Amino acid sequence: MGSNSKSYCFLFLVLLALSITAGCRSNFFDESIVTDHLPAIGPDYINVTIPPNIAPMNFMIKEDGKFYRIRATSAKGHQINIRSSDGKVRFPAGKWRRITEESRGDEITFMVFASDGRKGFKQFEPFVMYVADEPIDPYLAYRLIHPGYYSWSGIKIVQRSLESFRVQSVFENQVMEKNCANCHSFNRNSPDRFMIHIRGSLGGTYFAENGRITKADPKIDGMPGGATYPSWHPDGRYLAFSSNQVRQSFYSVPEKSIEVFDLVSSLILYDREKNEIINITDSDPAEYLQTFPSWSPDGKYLYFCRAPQYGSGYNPEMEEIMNTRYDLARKSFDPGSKSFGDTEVVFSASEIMKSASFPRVSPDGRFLVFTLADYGTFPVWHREADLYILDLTTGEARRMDINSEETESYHTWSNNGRWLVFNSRRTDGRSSRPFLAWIDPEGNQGREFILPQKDPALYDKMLESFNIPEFVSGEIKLRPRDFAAASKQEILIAQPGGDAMPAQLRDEKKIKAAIEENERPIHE
Amino acid sequence: MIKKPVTEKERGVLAAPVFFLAAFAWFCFPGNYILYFQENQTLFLFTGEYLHKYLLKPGGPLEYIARFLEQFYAGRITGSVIVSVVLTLPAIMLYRINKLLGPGNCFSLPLLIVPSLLLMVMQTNYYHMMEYNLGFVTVLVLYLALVSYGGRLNIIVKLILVPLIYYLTGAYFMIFLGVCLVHNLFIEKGKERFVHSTFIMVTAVLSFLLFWKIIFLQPVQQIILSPLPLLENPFYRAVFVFLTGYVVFYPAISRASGKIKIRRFNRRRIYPVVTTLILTAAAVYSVLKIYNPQTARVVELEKLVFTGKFEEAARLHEKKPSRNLIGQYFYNYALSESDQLCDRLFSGRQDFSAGALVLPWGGEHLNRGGYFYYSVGLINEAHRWAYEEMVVYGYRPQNIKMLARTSIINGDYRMARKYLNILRKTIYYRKWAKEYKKLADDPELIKVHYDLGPRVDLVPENNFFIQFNEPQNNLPYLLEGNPENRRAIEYYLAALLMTKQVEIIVNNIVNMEGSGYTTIPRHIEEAILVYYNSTGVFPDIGKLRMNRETPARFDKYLSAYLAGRQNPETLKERMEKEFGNTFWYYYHFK
Repeated sequence: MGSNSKSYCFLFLVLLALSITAGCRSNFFDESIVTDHLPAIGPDYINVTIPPNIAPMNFMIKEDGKFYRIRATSAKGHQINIRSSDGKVRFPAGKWRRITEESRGDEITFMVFASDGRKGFKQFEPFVMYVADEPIDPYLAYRLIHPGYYSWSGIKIVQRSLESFRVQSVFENQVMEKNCANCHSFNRNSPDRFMIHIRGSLGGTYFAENGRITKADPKIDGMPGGATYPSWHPDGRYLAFSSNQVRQSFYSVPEKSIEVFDLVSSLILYDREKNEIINITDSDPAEYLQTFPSWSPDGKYLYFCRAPQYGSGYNPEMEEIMNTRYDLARKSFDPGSKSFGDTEVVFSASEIMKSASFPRVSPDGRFLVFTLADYGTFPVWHREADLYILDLTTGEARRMDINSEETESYHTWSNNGRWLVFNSRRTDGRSSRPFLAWIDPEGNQGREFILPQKDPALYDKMLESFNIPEFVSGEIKLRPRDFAAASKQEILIAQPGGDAMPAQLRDEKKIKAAIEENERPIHE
Repeated sequence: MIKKPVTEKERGVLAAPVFFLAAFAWFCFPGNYILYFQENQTLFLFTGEYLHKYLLKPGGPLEYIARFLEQFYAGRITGSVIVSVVLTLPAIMLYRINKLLGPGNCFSLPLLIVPSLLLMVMQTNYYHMMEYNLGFVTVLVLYLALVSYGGRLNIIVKLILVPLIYYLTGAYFMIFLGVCLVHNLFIEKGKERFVHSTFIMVTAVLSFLLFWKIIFLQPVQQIILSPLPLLENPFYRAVFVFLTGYVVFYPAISRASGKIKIRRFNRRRIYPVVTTLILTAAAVYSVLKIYNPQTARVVELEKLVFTGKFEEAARLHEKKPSRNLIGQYFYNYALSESDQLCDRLFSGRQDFSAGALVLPWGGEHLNRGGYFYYSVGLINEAHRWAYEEMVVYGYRPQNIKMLARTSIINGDYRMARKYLNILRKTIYYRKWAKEYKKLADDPELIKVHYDLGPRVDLVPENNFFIQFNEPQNNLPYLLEGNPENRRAIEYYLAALLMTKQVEIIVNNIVNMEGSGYTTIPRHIEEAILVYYNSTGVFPDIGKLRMNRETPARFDKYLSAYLAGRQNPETLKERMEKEFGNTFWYYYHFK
């Protein structure tokens, strides 16, 4: 047989194969039985709004069946076809990137088919994912920890690429004598300027600035506790902290588990350049618990939460804690003179018998998102805690659409202000999971979605929480070994501020007595 | 002419099964508590994540295999077989090594049995985990491979094998390295042996640096020392050091012993046997000396309690009293679970006053303290203890079971399913998980469940902050919300009995009727008579009536007490014999 004959024969076989395949395909779609309900999938990604640079939104089909087929179609008609025998749908990274890029500002349509292996396929009602135009920050940093009480063992702070599933450790306590890391904070989401607070034998606040780590102790005499709940001033020189004596108590009833509260809390300003601390709180005439400092993006205001100090002193009973409600307040700040203006209340939560916490202002300065719970300072364990958005131009606050029946709390804005990451316990009632939500310039929200994972069943089996999720605008280059090396540095002890009044405590003896009575670490 | 290696072979072949049978008998019966204890330290899961955790450190694979084998300790027979086989393996390895190193060595038998005997002695310590045995077994297997094929391995293979063995066995690689060096020095000949030794040493150092600085994120001590048995017990440490030295220098010892010439045929037969018997006797003596019946009792008691055999647990403590706080705590818990706390409290030994009723919060009692809360219905706190234990020690059968149970009782079915799914990935707890999953899937079944059903009624409806620093202070709060919580009442009264606060006890009796009591618990009746005897006032006991036998017993007690006072030296002993199980005896003599 000549070469031409061979070629014809090969061409014939190819055409035959193509026609058979095409025939199958048309049969598969034509013969499927169309149902009028959406497929049950987990995580629930139906009608969510996603960023164009997000990692593949893998999910699991929770419908009966032995075989599944999924077709994702971009706005321009490009398709990804997936077959699955276990219901797990994993999109190839390259194809996913193409389909999301193509669908920017539009939507991707998903068709799900299930077969029990005998009859044909059952076709579910198609659903969509809306693809926003604006990308999300490429990394998310969070602490992986069991949402426990007092004890800890392995603690990691990791960075997860939001564009893929890559996870890298930034800090691991197994090379840090099992110390506890309990705060991490970034200056304007920068991977080059952030801090981690470490407690234990190698304790200190580790400042990472342009690849260099320094170990400092921003605490001076008279502060009620260590420096916690950090917030970087936009220029990177100052950090506002609150200094709290935190306690936790455990409820007896099944509906509630933990109450974390402050015996005393005040605000301080730490000057990185001069390694000095000045007190923010004392300029106030009345006694307040003041906590959760957070700068406005222009650095002209420091937002925080405040509540009147307990009437009973420093050993509050349950009833008193349940009647403690925090308002949102702010002070103006002049970086030149390091001075603060008077306090003004921006949202009086106590007036509506609620308590505010975790204020975070959007990068454009227009909105402030905060958590609102029934009482107390720490909403993380309050099931009723929800996210609210306050329009700073009108003073109007409203409950966000992204809430659930379970706790919503710790949240951060992306660099471009179009994305919000927040923690929710909605998946199992106990573990915090990071959810991402699109926010338009008017403060309206798209449907939120849980951080996608390579294994879509991960959240069903994982017990750890994703604690303090923070957007990061690039990859953090520092690694656990760098922190281990920095732990050998001599600690830089902060000094009381020069002309400014150093931190002073009222009723110092009483507070010390209350502190000693129940000295215990707090986790989440 | 020195001949008959067959005899040596026969002895060697015989030694292993004899040792195996002896070890099996020990671990199946008196030493079984060690296996139970170890099995409860971890929960082996058939999941990728579980395996992954062990792949992240040198020696991790060895530990993974150890955890795999330890899960079978849950069965008395399977566990005993496994540990006995592993302990016998060094003897088998050395038997084969001896054949290659020095056939005809008449001291082969005592030489080969030593590591197995030493490991057996070490295994008597209940913190001697399986990886320690496997570590030495692996070293001997590798050495056997070295003497069998070592000369045939080329440099590339060695270059790969050194880091690979280091990764698989962790610090046991260092021991193997020692064996290799001694082997090269004493067994091999020629200049090449120095080249080989240097090469292995350099590769080992490079592997260590590679592991420490680049591959594994582990502290340097972990990379050097894990998983060696670094227990603090001095005797244990001494045995470990001796065993390590013995294994490292085994090539030299073997060579040296092979040079001992015993001319007389009879002596040649007798000496090794006598040496072996002396070594075995020393090992048996050590094992018996280390064996602590008190520890065995506590673990046995714990086992009975965890399997829900409360009556058996109570009987065990009454028959073989534990002097240990934990033992007495579990006895009291078993009484509470079988609703006999104030009837039988003093039938078992009590040395810690109210301390054995409730364990204080802290790391020391993390895995046990929650059971008191579980019994009295303070489910949130029982859950917290189990959770804290899980965070600190990882998954263990008891903490995951407790988390599942408390989650179901609290109506948190989502989390319950998560915990039960963990247990479903095991061999021995799968069935249990399946049973409890039915409850999580169909909460209606909880009410009629033998274990969880009654506990649901005890869950407090009144909200208060749990007093974890003074746990007994929770009882009044619990009773305030649910006066019919009899377990809380009895723990409360038991604490008063233990601290001899008779007046408070009798003042509480009037409320007992409202809590559903139709009879007064035995020790409370005894307290009433103590009060009546000392004040002359009979307390208000409402409509409840005392058992007629109690005053008669009290009269008998008083008569014996008054009579016994004539001879104060023997009074306590005599009274204890007859009345040791009464509150009266406790009140007067403890």
